[in-house]
Amino acid sequence: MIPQAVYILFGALFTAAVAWAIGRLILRASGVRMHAQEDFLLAIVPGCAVLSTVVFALMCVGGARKAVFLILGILVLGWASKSGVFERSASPRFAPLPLWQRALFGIPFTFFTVLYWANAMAPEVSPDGTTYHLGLVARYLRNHGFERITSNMYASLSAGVEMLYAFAFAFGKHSAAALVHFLLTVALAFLILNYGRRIGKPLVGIVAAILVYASPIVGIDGTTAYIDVAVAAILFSLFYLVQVYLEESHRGLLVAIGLAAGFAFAAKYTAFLAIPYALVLVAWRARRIRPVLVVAAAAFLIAAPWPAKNWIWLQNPLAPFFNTWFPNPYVHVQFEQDYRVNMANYGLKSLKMVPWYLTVTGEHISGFLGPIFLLTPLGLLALRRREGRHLVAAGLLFGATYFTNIGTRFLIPAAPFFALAMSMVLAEWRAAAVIMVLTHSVLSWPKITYKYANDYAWRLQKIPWKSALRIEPEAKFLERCWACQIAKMLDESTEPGSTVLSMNGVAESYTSRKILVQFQAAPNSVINDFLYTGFIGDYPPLHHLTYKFAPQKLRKLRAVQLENLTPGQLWSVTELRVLSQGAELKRAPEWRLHAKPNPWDVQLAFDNSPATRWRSWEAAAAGMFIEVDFGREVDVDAVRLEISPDQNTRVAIDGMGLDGQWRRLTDKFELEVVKALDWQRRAATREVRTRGIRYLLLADNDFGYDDFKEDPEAWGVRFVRETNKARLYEIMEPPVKGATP
Amino acid sequence: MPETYAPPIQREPIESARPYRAQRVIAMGDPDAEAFVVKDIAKGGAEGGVWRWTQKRPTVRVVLRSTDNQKLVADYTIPDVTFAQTGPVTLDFYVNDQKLDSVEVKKAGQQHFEKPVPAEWLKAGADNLVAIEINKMYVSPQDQSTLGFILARLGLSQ
Repeated sequence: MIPQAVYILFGALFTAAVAWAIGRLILRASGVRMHAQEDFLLAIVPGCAVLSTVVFALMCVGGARKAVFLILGILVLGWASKSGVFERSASPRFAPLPLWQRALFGIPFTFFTVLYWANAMAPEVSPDGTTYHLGLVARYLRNHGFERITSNMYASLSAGVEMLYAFAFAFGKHSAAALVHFLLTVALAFLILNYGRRIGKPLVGIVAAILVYASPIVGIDGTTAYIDVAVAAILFSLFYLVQVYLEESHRGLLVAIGLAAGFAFAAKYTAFLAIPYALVLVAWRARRIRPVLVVAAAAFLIAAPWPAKNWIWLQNPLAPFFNTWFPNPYVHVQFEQDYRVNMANYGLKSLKMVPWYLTVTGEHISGFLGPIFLLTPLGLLALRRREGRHLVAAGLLFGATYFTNIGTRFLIPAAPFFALAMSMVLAEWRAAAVIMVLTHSVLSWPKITYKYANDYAWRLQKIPWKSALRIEPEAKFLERCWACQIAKMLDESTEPGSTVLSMNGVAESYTSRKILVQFQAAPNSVINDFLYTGFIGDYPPLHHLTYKFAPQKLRKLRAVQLENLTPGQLWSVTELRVLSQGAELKRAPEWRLHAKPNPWDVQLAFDNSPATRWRSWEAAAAGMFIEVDFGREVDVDAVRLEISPDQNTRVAIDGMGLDGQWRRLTDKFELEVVKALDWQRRAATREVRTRGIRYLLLADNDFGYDDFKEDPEAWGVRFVRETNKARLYEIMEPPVKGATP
Repeated sequence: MPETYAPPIQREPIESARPYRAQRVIAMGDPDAEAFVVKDIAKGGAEGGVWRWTQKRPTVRVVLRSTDNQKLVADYTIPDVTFAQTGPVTLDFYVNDQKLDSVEVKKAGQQHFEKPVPAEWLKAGADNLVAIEINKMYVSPQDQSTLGFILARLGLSQ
């Protein structure tokens, strides 16, 4: 039997080799000749861009299969071999580094490479890696391609790097993907090193390479199936290629520049500035339109598939953001607003301590760069030199999006530029360079970081060599991963094909069950809201507002919002009932219901369920409405709104009569306060079940955990199993017959 | 996506529903009983679907919404087989480590215990520990393993 480690190494190295070979073929075809080291390193990102896009294309046609990847890879490597790609480059090489400089780079590099390799090889347990980066990859591979996913906003993020992970995952699963990220981390270090050599300051390159490579946040991120260090490698490759173009004006570089710029956006939305960066600098250097068009075309080829996919499937090319520009049923406007605010402050009242967290303690914002980065402002002195100005400008540009998400890893893409600028200043003194490298290396070693950083800061902890080599079985290692154990429980305790509603992320890459995380998409939040009506006191429809007006014939009727409320204050209507002579008009099939905003949920206000409600899902605003088109004229003299008391809204009733004109009927109402129904909880789970969800997963810190635990029967659910303080319930309440989810 | 919709299937009331009640008395046969066990109650499923062996001080935890009018409730059995060895035993009943009562059991068989608990002993919205301690344990002559008594239900009830 072939050891698992062999599959892992094969998956990662095969992916890297194929991507690199593609990149080399592109650069050779373009006639670009740089230094031999640059020929090697600058081929990586353009090759990754093309391989990623090829995998995207295969995903679109259901061709994401191991055999297809294998054949594709062998063909590429064969072509590359025939083209002489693997032969020793005839390009000139950089002057060899003096022995002491080789040691200055090589010793810390070796130590950290051993640390990183072992962690990347060990089973993947990173939060985002196991939940969505690889969760989606695993799902696509099971499906042999993309599927339309409307229940997970992460599925609409650009995922160019994850396409490379998919290629590796097909052979070596999770750790192969993490190793691909690790290899890009290594590539980044050498790119930085060689950039220093290109500008005639190898010591600057050495120092900056170690500052970045040994940084604790780079270590943990770059050895898991995250993508931030990969984005840094892409952006730095782009910068490097552009710098070469600015120097040599070789048009053969244009395609590679475009591929790298497009791949930056394809890898992560926040790197979108790479495209204007490339276009502007090429235009500035070339002073002609044609080179700009070449760059734009190459970038478009790599970047465009991602918004196109979203446009076709989600009606929003920039999903999951900009939902006010592209209204859709998949991400609520309110959620996006909350998400943006949360990501921009991580719950911190003030951002003044962020530089300290970023560099030293790592608390609150998940990780730290290392204390040496406190010296970053010294990099401004590099503005004296042309290279320094380019570095600082690129760092500021690519770091500009950091304030949209202040997590430390969001600054990784800018770190190489600032590290080089800082080194350019400090490494003018040999002793300072040595001290910086040694100090940073020591302070970044895991055991040392625990002496000064916050205990809970995200970082590597040790060299797990037994796990890396699978001497400790993967299953044993995963027992220490909370989310992985939950995933295991789901696989063991639910039927294949089951759907599970969860309040928090599950390690989806370790389960084949479909997981709906309540906050990850609008439809999930709506379903979760049903459950909340079961145990949150002011969520059920306890207020019945009856609006009476003179009897009249109406063709259409609207409940219109009159208030403008602040973000977070939503308008909700559980039921809208139309009355005549004291009796409710039967809701007829020819009625047409509409709402603005959120028309897609309007039926929730007309289904006779106390658990479902139409909600604006953005701040209530004057002019919002729910509308009934009766399809003919009907006699009406009152409207009853059954609403939850959790709102400060004010509503008027408008009607359209024979003349086709809207007129205000009344904004006065009689309030009746009613008691919650005994079957409120079961009504909630009935609606959840009706939407094809059979299981609920509640962890002990989830809202509602105690309520379910205390009386499962009142909820119409059956306790199935508990693992790591997370309880799995099966919904026994039968679905509503004939109802469309 | 369409922007107008026909009225959906109308939901009917659920007639068979009963009012919500908190799970404060832990029946040993409940499928999730082990989630409430703190210590000294046998794991791995209830015997006969309804009872479990205990050790010295079986303890469960229950969460209360209100501390008013609570009483400790227990259904347990001193089986013949252990009684033959131990003879009469004394059971002490505790709530949050405060002794509520002490009962001497002079014959084998099923027992029921119920007694009001002072509200100030209890915590609303948090775990409350309910325990019974037996003074003499049965010791198996074969393997020296110990047994307390048979527990069917234990907890707090309003």
